Amino acid sequence: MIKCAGCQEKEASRLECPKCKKLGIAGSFFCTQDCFKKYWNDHKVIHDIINIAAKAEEEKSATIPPNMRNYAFTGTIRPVYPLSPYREVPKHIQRPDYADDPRGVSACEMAERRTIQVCTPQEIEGIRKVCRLSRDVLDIIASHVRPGITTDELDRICHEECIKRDAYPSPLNYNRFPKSVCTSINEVICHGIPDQRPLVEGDIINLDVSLYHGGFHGDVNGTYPVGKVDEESAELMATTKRSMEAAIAICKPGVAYRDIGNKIEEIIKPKGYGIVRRYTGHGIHHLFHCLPNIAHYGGSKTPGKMEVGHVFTIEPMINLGTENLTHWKDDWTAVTLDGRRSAQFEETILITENGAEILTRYSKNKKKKKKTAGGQAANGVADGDDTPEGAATPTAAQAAQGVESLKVE
Amino acid sequence: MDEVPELVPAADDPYARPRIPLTLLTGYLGAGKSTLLEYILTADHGYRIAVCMNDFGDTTDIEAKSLTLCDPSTGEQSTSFLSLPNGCLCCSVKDLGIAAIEEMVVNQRDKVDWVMVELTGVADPGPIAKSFWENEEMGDLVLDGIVCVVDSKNFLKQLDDNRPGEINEAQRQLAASDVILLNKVDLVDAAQLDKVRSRVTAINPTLRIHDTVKGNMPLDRIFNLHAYSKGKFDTVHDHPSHVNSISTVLIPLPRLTPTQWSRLNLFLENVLWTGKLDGVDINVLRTKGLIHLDDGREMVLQGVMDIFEIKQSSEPDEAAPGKIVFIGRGVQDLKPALISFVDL
Repeated sequence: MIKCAGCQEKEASRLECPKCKKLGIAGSFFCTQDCFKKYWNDHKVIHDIINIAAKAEEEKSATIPPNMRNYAFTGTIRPVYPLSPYREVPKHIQRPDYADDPRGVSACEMAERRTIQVCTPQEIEGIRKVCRLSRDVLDIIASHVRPGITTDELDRICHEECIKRDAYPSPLNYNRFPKSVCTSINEVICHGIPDQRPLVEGDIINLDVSLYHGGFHGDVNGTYPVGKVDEESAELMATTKRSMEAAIAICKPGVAYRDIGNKIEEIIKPKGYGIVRRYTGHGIHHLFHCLPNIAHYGGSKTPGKMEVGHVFTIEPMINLGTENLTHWKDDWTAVTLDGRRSAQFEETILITENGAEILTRYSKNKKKKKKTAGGQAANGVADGDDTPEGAATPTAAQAAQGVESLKVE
Repeated sequence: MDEVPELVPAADDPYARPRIPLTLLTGYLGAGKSTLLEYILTADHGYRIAVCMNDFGDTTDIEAKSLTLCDPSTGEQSTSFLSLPNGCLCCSVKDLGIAAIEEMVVNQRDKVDWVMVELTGVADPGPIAKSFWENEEMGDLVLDGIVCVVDSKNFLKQLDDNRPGEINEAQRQLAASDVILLNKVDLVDAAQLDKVRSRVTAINPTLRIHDTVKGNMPLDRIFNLHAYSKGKFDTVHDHPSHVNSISTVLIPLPRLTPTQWSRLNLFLENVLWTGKLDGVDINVLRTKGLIHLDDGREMVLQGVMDIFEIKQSSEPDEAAPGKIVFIGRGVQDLKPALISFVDL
């Protein structure tokens, strides 16, 4: 017997509360119209509750773009729209070929040669310059990372810092990426689009900065804690960075490209983390992305060996849980399939006679710079001496230290 | 006595992505690819097969390509156009066509057991096979093998089609394939068929050959080949090379010492990754091998064009002789070079 929703005693008839029916609340059957009337004041509260809940839900999703409102997000991060308007780059700054293409396609990249380019000393000088500018900009943006700041604000800072350096922010309009930097928070693996979401204490955020200057691209990224982060995240970030450093340390002429992934796997596997397979490191020079492809996982079939003059990135993306990923319906944002966190570190490196020079890392202390130029660059890795001295502000130095400082906490 | 039940594995990782096998179908226009596909889509074989029939080969234009699915329980077919998946414009996926097929198959995972991709008649399957095989590492499709359909009546003519300085498509298709279906055997006499067979074997002796009429044959002849994962393949002997022609060289291998093993790896890297032997261009289209090591391990070598992979065999077979096979142009020179470099 179904009891009357009013008196809770008599058997309900087939008469239903019309308002409940409209709101989609099932089972509001009453015995008689009189009974319904008698209990109306008590009953109608249920309508208000549902209305309030629906409104709250609507408000919450108002900032999610309509095509993603029914999307099954894997974690807790949501896009917060609208995006800010397109940021212009002044006309006097040299633009890559895709900057003004309606589809953001780089014609040069499409016509890419099938071999890895050996860069000339002049080209290397140009790449070195833009790589250092990229590092500078990354350090400056990182110094602004704090709870409350939006990723759009970080994008504005990146954009302006690029312009100050006569550089075009490489991500802008690359295959129609709408912003000047990639901001990837927590379960976002890479290619997060800066939006109106304020950073929250305990988040981890990856800032992926690429500049185009003098006809060359530079590419560098790092993952930073927002305030104090949990131990699990700190450990993930530290291990990810360690795996990148170890991979850079094996680079020298004659080493097979697939050994990079083997090295990273050696460090990551014992931790039980997942190594992202979908995204790889890449060659970089006058093209933003080109050969070689750098697999970050072990046992890849990647052909080829390093030669003096090769320039490429190493940028492992490491997940706390599954290596598998999916994408938001915005063409870009890659997220972990289980919604757990992901960290990434990246440098652009050059193969030299003796090893590798990390082009996106340099000491601003002149004495040290000289030593680096003397061909001992690879030692910089072993020293762990990667903190730019005399960086813009003390917070910049702190931020650049990133992971190291976390260990102290 | 009670029978002890088999232990069952713990619940699957909910975030694991099941992998779906894929077969590439190559062959000249008119060889009978479409008839074969028609048969595959309609025959009662129990597989739920997704077929990409639009002459795959062009990596940039995916707009006009579609995928046809058949449901064996109802016999119903459905066709939909491929679309570019989310987030694939970035540096990870090398081939948008592959990305599109993968996306579509993955979205209908519970309806698909097998994927077949038909290549254009003029396509060289080598680079396409290479792309699919490379993509395997990061994707959800596993390359099972390449099937070539040929018209027994016209095939010899196609093989002899002379292209000054280059290898014609018919030869490239033979070199890249794992199974060849000699179609239209009802239209040729026994002598002609023998000629076709011996030419096929001369170019690629690792091929499995089947005769068909109108593409009709059991699917197990073209499915579950594991051509890119297993080390078992039949070879007879190597054949002399013709100018502008593909041939196969077979190099028997003894058990290798650790030094020989590392020299062999170095040899493969030097030759395959650079495409040169002692500074001279060499065109290897396919590499296969079974390698026994001193310490008892058995290794399987697979390669397409410049990429190769060596994995430890999961089902070692002491009786299977160690050997390496190179298929391509000018590969005869590899034999003495390898023997001396590895110091066999």
